[in-house]
Amino acid sequence: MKGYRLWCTDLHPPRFIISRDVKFNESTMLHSSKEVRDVEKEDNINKQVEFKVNSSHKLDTDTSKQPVQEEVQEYVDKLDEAPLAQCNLARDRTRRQIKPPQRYVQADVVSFALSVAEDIELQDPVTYREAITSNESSQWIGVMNEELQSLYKNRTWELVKPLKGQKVIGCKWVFKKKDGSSGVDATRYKARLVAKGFSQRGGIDFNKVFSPVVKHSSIRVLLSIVALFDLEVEQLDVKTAFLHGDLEEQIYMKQPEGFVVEGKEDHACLLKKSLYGLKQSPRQWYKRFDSFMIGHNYSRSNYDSCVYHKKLLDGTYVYLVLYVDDMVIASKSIYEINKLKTLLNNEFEMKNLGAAKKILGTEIHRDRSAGKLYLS
Amino acid sequence: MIWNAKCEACEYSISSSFQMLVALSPQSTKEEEQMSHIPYASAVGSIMYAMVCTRLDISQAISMVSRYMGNPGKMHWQAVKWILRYLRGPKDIGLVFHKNHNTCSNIVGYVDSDYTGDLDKRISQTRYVFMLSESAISWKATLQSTIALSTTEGEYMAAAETVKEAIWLRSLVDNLGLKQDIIVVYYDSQSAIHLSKNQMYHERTKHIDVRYHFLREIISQGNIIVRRIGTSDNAADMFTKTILVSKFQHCLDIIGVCII
Repeated sequence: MKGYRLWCTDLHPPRFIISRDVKFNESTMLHSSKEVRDVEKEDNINKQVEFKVNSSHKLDTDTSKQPVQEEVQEYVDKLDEAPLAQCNLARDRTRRQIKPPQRYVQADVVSFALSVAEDIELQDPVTYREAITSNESSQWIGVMNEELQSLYKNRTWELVKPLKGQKVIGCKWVFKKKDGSSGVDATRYKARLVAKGFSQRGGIDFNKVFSPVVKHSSIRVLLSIVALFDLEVEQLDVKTAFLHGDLEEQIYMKQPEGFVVEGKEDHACLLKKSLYGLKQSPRQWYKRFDSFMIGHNYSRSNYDSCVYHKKLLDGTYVYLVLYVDDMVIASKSIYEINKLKTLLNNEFEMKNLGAAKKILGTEIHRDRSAGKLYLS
Repeated sequence: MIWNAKCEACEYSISSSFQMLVALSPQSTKEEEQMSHIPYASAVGSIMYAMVCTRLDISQAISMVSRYMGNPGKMHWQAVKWILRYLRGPKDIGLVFHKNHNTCSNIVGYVDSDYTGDLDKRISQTRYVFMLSESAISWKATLQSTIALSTTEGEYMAAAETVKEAIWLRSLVDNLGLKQDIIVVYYDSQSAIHLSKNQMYHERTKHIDVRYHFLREIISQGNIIVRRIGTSDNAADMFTKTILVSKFQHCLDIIGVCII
């Protein structure tokens, strides 16, 4: 059986009712801007199954009371002509006008396309070509120049003509846009040149790649000592850590895309310093840092090679824990920490993060008056 | 491990309703297809990182679910979701390190083992936790490498494993300028303690490998001693067996885990 479910605003409270006996007042329905359809109801709830002929009869008589609408009138006329017994409400009624849904009209499609395009614009370019053809090409070129300047300053490579048959690995620009913190800073653009380390072959282009990182137990032991003796803890971050490592192997790399030196197109870069992407970079960085620390009279723990310590004259210690480019320094005196910080800053470019708040995803809270240190 | 079949609030790391077995792995290709949409390994991996950092209370649960990483079944996934619910509960749990209030700054260890704890291969489990000045610094809940033939053997192997860690921790802490006296490892197994001290030859212990007699050598040196503790005060018990909530809390108190 066919029926209609109606949202009836006239009733208190407004509710859904189900009825078969329904007449549509299409004049208000078509011209109303509201979503809610005005529906004229004749009977509240008609549970009794009626014959279709009966209902159409009723409709026939009732139309006179309603504001008669053209289409309905037509229908009524048709009904008059046809023999009542053959009349079928579903079959014989006039077809309604078909209109495309509001959300698919032209203007909306355009605005949708625009918003998608905006999203695409906001994404970081994947290749060099994309970067220089994008709207922000000037910014990207700027940061690429900056990166190259720092690489030259660092004396990362020498331009040489590679021997015939020499394997030359590729390189790639990686672009990243970083949103500034809540409108205070402008969006920062970052470009980094990475070597395609996957084309390196073991035994030729690299030998050893293992780089130690600190054990979690060691961090906890250190923090326990910190709480025990009420030490100061500071955190540091090394900028572009991997670029500090010295390379032992001879590695030739293609010249960076878009920055090929004129007249030296057949030359390649003989790498002197490690670059992001090379397999041995983490190890070389660790070795460099290790030799620096040993050079400044710090001793490496025999039990965890990422824990360094130095005994001071007054019997207290300075501790340093290294996790790739994150480090935590702990000591009784803030003076000693600052001394070490300056040393590190002179050698490597550092970012000072102040008192240790978070290491390896673990938050550190201190309550020094109660002598407690929470780790969560 | 805390067993409790009906727990709404998920106060426990894992429930007894999860009987972890290989038999629960998918049997048909249809089940395998269903399970292939579930990020089991990455979910376990993420929880494991939390465990490695500070949440030693879930180490037993992780040890259980990670055995089925290769071919997880629906029940295993249920267990992982249970752990996630547990973690969501009192999520501000963390380790607390104290200032020295005249307690000894020595390392203290607790060991426990679960004889044939793994229902599939009948491998025993080792659990230990080490503490420095009343807060946990190192812990582990793992299956042993070989199958133990008796409870004593299983416990003996667990003790050997723990002493290895104790030696490392001792050297590290010594190295960092915190002088250690004798490290005490607490164990609730009388038989393993006796076996470690007494080199008596016995029919039932003659197959125990040289490797575990390493324990005897270390103990005879006197740097590390194994001391008996009542089961109720053994903190490593938390990782082992069916215990009540009150006991779970007690264990957490011992190892310095508390709500922040």
